Amino acid sequence: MPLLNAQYLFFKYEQTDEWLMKDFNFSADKNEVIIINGSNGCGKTTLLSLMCGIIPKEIKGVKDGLISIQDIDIDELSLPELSPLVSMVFQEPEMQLSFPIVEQELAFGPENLNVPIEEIKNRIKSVSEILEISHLLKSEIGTLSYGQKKLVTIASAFTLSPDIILLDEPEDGLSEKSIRSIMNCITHYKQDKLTIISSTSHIFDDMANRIISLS
Amino acid sequence: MNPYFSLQNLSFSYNDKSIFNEINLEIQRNEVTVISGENGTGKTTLCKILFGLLTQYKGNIAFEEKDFLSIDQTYITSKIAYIQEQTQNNLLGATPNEDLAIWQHKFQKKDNDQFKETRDAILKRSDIKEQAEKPIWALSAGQQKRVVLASLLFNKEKFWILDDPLFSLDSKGINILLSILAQHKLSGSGACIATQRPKTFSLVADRIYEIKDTTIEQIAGNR
Amino acid sequence: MNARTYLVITIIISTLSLVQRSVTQLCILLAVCVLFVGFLSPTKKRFVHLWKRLRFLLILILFIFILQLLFRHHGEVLFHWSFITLYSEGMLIAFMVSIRLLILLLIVSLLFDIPYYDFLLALRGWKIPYEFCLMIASTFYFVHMFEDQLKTTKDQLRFREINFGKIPLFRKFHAFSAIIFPVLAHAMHTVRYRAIALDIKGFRLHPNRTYYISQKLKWFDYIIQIICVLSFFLVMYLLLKS
Repeated sequence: MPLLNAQYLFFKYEQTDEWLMKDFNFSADKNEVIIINGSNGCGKTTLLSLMCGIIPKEIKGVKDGLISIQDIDIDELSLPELSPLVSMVFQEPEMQLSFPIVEQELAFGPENLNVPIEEIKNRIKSVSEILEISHLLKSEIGTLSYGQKKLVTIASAFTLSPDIILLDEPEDGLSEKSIRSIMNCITHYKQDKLTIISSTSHIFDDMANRIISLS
Repeated sequence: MNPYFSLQNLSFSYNDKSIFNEINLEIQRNEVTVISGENGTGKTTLCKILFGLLTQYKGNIAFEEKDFLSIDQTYITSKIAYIQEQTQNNLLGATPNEDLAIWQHKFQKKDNDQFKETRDAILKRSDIKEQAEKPIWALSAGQQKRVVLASLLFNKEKFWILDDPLFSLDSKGINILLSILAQHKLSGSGACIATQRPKTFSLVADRIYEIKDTTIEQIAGNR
Repeated sequence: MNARTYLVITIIISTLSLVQRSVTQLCILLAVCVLFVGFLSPTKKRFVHLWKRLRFLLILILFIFILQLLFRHHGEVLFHWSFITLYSEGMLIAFMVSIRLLILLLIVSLLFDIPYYDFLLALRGWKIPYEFCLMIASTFYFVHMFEDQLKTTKDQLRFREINFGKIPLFRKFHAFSAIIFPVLAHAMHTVRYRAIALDIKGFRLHPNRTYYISQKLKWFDYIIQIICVLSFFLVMYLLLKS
């Protein structure tokens, strides 16, 4: 049984005539890194939003077909109920950062899942070391550069540690060094997770098990 | 040729952290100068200093051979177009069409057919014409960035300061940016570009610098 | 200083400002309030920040003072010219209302200087449910965010060489709506996505949650809170006695 399964997926936004997804079928399992490639506006973000349930729970659209995680139809679970299974890092960090201090942002997810304090501490330490943001833990998020904010949002997905992590154009605004640290992070946690990355570039292609091109 | 900007022994700190330590830099009016560096090394800070947004620095900056601090901000905005790192901060209107229209009429004139014609051509050139009437916040990041690129074409006579213009752009968007830059350079105007990926600009850049450990060093280009 | 201490100070000074009955007492309270805000504000450059805040508030207070003065017609006539008559009681009430309002605005503005998460933890320290704390703290957060968006818009107008003051009057309304509407829409768009981001990180998944970060009160928090509470009861006792 694959971890994530999308079957006969059709989707279009309300008030549009054109279907963005037409009979899209996809499955993936743990220990995989999948790249979804495509140009601006082709539907990468939409696909990731469908996979984590944001569409159609929060963003309206016409959806048909099934997306299941561990054989559970994601339409049957609320977004918080889905959080141990799947989470998404938005392309724009400002849309996702809610706390003034970096450490608060990283701790929020595991706090909600009742993870013990010692375990939260270990997760924050481990993830921040791999992403090379340990020195920023006590910093105010408002003082960080765009790239640093981006790394914080990615770190907060890994401290939450769901089974599936969706990264929407994570390389955007990052230096090569930071992109390498993201790759290290994905590789480090790969065994327990399915990581799906949307990208307009081919920077992550070498580490991918599969590349899906959207057009 | 006298430099457009001349930075001498420039030092800048923020929250007791040193960003620049006595850096020297000259930027020519008709050249494309690329400033590269890792996250948090001060590229955005340098752009803000050059646009006059940050003035609490030590050292000297000469702009058009005059002391930069003595120059009025309105003069600076009449000479320099500044594109901020965060795409949405550059946008004003509700739709791409409205945003570009504001560049044209500035609320002083009525929108007219000539403006619309120019706008259509620019929207088409930036490959954003289909999204022209869509709400800006509903566009993808890459589409928003193209609107920002389009706005540069209303500032052809100015010097451009671009803070990480590659954000969110796919390969087609990057080509649009490079062609706009090449054309800008051909018309005798220059730009200062802060970027994580200097190699992308290797064909248009005249000089490439790198900020590292509070210093700046030229790594490629004219000497 | 812990955010709870700021809250205690705010509640006590606000309450005292509402029960004080004389201008002298209110002036003393105002002086205490200015000292608190000036010395204890968590922002840097406290007095510069305080002056900037006072400057804006004083204009507002002056407006309210004049309204009170003109429309209270009790007591002895102090001044009369044309249709304007100023009365002694009107003057007294104008002063009291204005000082009271100034105190309230100043002390509440202190709360906007506290990082909103510290504020949230302070409320949580008083055993208020987390969701309620986040809702209250988010109000301050939204105000800050809206202020930031407005500043960004003001900057962008400047960068585009648009001087709002020089726009012809008949175009001003269109300009204002063309500028404000996207700011509001963008702010709401951001708030909406941040709320989604909270949900996809498991917010309110379980009735209980872990608190990795907590803020314990320090010795000076206890001392200040005790002094404030004792002062409050002393003042209330003296007021009731008189």
